Amino acid sequence: MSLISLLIAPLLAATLPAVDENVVEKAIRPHQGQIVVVNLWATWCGPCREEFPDLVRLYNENKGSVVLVAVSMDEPEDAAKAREYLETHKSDFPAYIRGFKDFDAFSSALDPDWKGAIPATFIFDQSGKRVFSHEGKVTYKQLKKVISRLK
Amino acid sequence: MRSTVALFTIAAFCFIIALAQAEAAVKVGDTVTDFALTDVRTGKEISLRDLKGPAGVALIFIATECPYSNAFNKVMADLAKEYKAKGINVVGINPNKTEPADAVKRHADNNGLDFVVLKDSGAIADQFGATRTPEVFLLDSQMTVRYHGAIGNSKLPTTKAEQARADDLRPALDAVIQGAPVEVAQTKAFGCTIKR
Repeated sequence: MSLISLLIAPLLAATLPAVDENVVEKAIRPHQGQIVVVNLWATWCGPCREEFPDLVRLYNENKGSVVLVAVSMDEPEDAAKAREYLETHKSDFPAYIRGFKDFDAFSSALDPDWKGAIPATFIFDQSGKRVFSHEGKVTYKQLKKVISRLK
Repeated sequence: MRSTVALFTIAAFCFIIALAQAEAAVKVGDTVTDFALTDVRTGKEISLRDLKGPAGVALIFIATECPYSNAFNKVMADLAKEYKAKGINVVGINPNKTEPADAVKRHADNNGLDFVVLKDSGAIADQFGATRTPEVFLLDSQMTVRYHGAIGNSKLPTTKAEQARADDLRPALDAVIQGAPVEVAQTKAFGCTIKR
């Protein structure tokens, strides 16, 4: 590896943007008109890694009408690890790392009834209304069913 | 008219199902019925009633492989030591299907969890409506739930042991010991999904 790439690598790794309590305004509302699938995951979370290919597949098959918003719940200093994992999926969906100061406010913005376990997946319809919440692993079939109903 | 009745019936049915699901979870203020689980160290069944200290018991759903749970290993061990002397026992319950009793025992021994750790097939987690690790249910001497939620760091969850604190659970423990109302009886516990 050249000296330049050695120097640049950490900078690139640090480019996973943070998302705070304003997750709806920042990460969901800009995609109004499309179905937004928000997935909370972490590099250390086994079931998150198991379900992730299904989410990416759903996004890749429905580009234009469905956006996947992946929010890593890894700690901000572990952004590089999260980014490295995302890169193995070679896709272009928006991805963030947690940057909130108040977990209650962040989780309530997504769904006040979410109990706090990850993986967690929330689907917002074209108008931005939350229509699906799931704690634990989701399957492609489950997601597809919700998406088809909204399309 | 007929469709209205049908709709109403469906709505009522859904409501009943929702109620039934809500009732499956133990809430703050509920009194818990006694149960018995296997102690991973002795291999013997032990009942909640026998585990309870004179002032109560803090049941903590834990995992061997969840970084959020593991970040609190020392915090839990310290709390167990401190509050045993004050009348509340800390008890760990591992409800993950993926983590057998011998692995749970090894994990407890290797991480200095010097309190009773029980193995649950998932039935007790279901009964409590627990969904993640770590997740605490603090019961008083009458087995009434007085606090439910995080051990600590609920505002800013952490996987770093050096940052882990018991700032959510500790005030609840102190209130129960003093016979005072628990000011914050419910916090949101972030964590790993219980593997059912």
